[in-house]
Formats: sequence, C-alpha cells, structure tokens
Amino acid sequence: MLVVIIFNIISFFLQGIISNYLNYTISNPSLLSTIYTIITIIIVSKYFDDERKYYFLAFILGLLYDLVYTNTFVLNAILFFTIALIARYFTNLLSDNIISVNIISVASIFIYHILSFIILGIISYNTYNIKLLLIICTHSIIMTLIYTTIMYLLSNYISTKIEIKLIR
Amino acid sequence: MARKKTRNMRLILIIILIIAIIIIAILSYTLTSDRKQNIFEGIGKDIIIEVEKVVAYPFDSIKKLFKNYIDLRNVRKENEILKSNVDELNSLKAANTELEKEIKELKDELNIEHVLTDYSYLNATVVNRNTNYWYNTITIDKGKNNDIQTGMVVINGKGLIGKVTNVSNFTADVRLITTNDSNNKISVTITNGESKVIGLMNGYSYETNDILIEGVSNTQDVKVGDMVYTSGLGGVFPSGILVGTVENITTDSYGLAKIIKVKPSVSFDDINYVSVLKRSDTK
Repeated sequence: MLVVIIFNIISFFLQGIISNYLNYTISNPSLLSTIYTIITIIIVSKYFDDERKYYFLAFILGLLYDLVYTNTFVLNAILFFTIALIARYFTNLLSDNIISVNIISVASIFIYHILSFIILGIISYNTYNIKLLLIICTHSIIMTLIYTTIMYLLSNYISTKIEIKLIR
Repeated sequence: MARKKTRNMRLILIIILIIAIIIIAILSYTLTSDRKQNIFEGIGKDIIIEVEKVVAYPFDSIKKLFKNYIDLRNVRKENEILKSNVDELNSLKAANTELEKEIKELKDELNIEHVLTDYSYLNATVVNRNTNYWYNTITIDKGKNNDIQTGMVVINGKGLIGKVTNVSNFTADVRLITTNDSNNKISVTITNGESKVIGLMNGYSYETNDILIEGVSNTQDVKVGDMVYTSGLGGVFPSGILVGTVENITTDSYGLAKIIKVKPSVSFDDINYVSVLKRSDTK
C-alpha cells in the first residue's frame, strides 16, 4: 500500500515540477511531456485486488489533478476513473510484461487527450482542431514510453526487494 | 423472457443516458470560465502548491546555481553598462515627473479611466503551468494574502500575459491571452506612431502562434510592423500595455474588414516571472 501511495505522490508532483522546466505551449508541445499520474495509475493496477479501491484511487487523483493542474472540477476525476476502467480491463486481458504495459500506457494517454478534446469541444470551453489533437498525442509518445518503462522496472525491482502486498 | 430482456436493456440505456446528461451538465457548470473556486478547493490547492514548492526546492536550487554562474560571467560587462545608465537616471527622473503631470492633464481632458501609471506592480513567480495544453492557465505564488483579486491584469517585462481568474489565499490562476475565449475580447490600439486604429482581439491561431484582431475596417491604415497595445476601453485592461506587432494583414471574405495577425511580444512557452497590476487606489 505504502509503495503504491509513494509511486502516486512522486508522479503527481513530478507533473508540476517538470512543467516548470519545460518550454511548451499548446501550439508547440514538448516531446518530454506526458500525464505521469495516468501512467502510474496503470503501473499500480496489478497491486490492487479490490477493484473498487483502485477506481477510488484513480478518482481521487483525478480530483487533485483538477484542483492543481487544470483548474477544473470533476473533469479529470471522471477521465481518470474512465481510464482506470479501461486500463484494468486490458491489464486483466494481456499478460504482465513491459511491452503490453507500454501499449496500455500510450493508448490511455491518447484516450485521455481524445476524451478531453471531445468533452471540451461539446461544452465549448475552447475551440481546437483535430490536427492539434494529433500533434499533442504524437508528442506524448516518447515520454510515455520512457516513464512507463522506468516505473515498470522500478516497481518490479522494488517487488523483488520487498514484498508488495496486494491491496484487498 | 425476450420482452423482459428488451425492457432491461431499455432501462440500462435510459440510465446511461441520464448519467451522461448529468455528467455533461456538471462539467458544463464546472468548466465555465467565470466559476469561482470554493473554499475547500482554495485550501487544497494552497496546501498542494506549498508541498510542491518543498519537493521542487532541490531542483530549483540547482537551476539557480547554474543561472548564477552564467550571470557572474557577464557581471563585469553589465556593471559598465549600468554605470553609464546611472548618469542618465536623474535626467529621466525629472522628465518622468513632468510626463506624469502631462498624463494626468490629458486623462482629465480625454476622460480616460485607467492608464498604466494608475497601477502598482506586484511581482510573482509562476509555480505551476498547465500541463494539459488545453486550458492555457498558469498559477502564480501570490493570492488573497497579497491583495490579489479576480480580474487583475498580469504582464511581464515584454507585454501582456493575461488576467487573474481564480484566487486562493496563497496562489492565483491566470488565464493567458492565448485562450480562444469568446467571452474575453480585449480592445486594442494599433499604432505606427502617427495614426491609431482601434480593434478587438478575437482569438488565437494555434497554427501560426498569432493573436487575431478583428473589427478593423478595410479602409483604415494598418501596416505590417505596427505596434499593438491595449486601448483601455472596456475598463479591464489599462491602456498602453504592449500586446505585439502586426505580422500579417488579410481581408475578410466580404472585403469589408481586415483580419490582422499579431505576433505576441511575450514568449508564452517560457514564463517564469510576472507582475500583477494593482490599482493604486485599491488597498
């Protein structure tokens, strides 16, 4: 439980810290930016036996993300919850290896951006075009792969050193 | 049996539809640009930002160390330039007093409400930038405790950045002028030193990184390279803040109005320090 919480806290704050060191705008996305919190939600999925606790964690992280990083309310909570549902389904379906985890991570980040785009488009919060969405999605791939690989290897290394109990 | 199954399916569909409508309704409310943070959101954000500052401290220290080293290398050269500038300061000070007097007289004469000299500057550091691209906001480390209020204008040394949209005790959110928000049109003056043309900032082109200005008649004289400043009309943004320079001029499909693309003077991908403009008559 503690390891899972530490993983999530690190990723959550990493999001803010990295944003202060990267130079990017919506029209000039950085190749080094991704949604670190979502990647961690996917990585820690295997440590949850109780699915409700897993979805609850995703929802709470989404709420905090809303509060600190996007100045919205509930939007990211719903998105993170949805992504947790999808990630959990595919984690159960695919075998636990570095390639499948990376595929799920990249797909989840894409889904996040696409859903944000659709929801914000429906509610007319802002007007963007699909080309911009594609640029943002493609620019997030590199860092998603790097961070997923690091977190996957780190979580496996820690689980060989200490026993990470399943959250029931 | 089949009828019961169909009825259940219909019930599930209705429930999903109701949930979807409720979610969209909640999001519509929460995503409106003028929604204010509630007290719990404010406290929560303050706490997390403070923790983030502590976590980021080692990284910031390393960054500052490198910056200091680079600054030190240039210090002798800068010192010589500054010495020569000091001599000019006294004469500038006298000229400034005279200009302030003139501005006051002209303001009274022209009945202009807010100009830059009516404001004091509060410097702030950007503690968080929106990581999700879509929202175009930054968070600064000054809030209600520093008398920051919603609607205050935010600039940096290069020009206009945006305005404060949400305030908590220790932080404030700033919406950048690069947001395509139809409720936030800003009146601007396009000038080449001789003539002045009034226009309206009407969005941002994410493809060319340009601010779009509309409402300028095709008969009016605007040239590439003209400077764009806030006009002060509307009462939110004081007059005289640099927005950018005219980069491209086209005509709308009816041939009646100009569509002007302006290169912003501020580099929005690298904002670290800003100044909040506080009216001198506010506390």
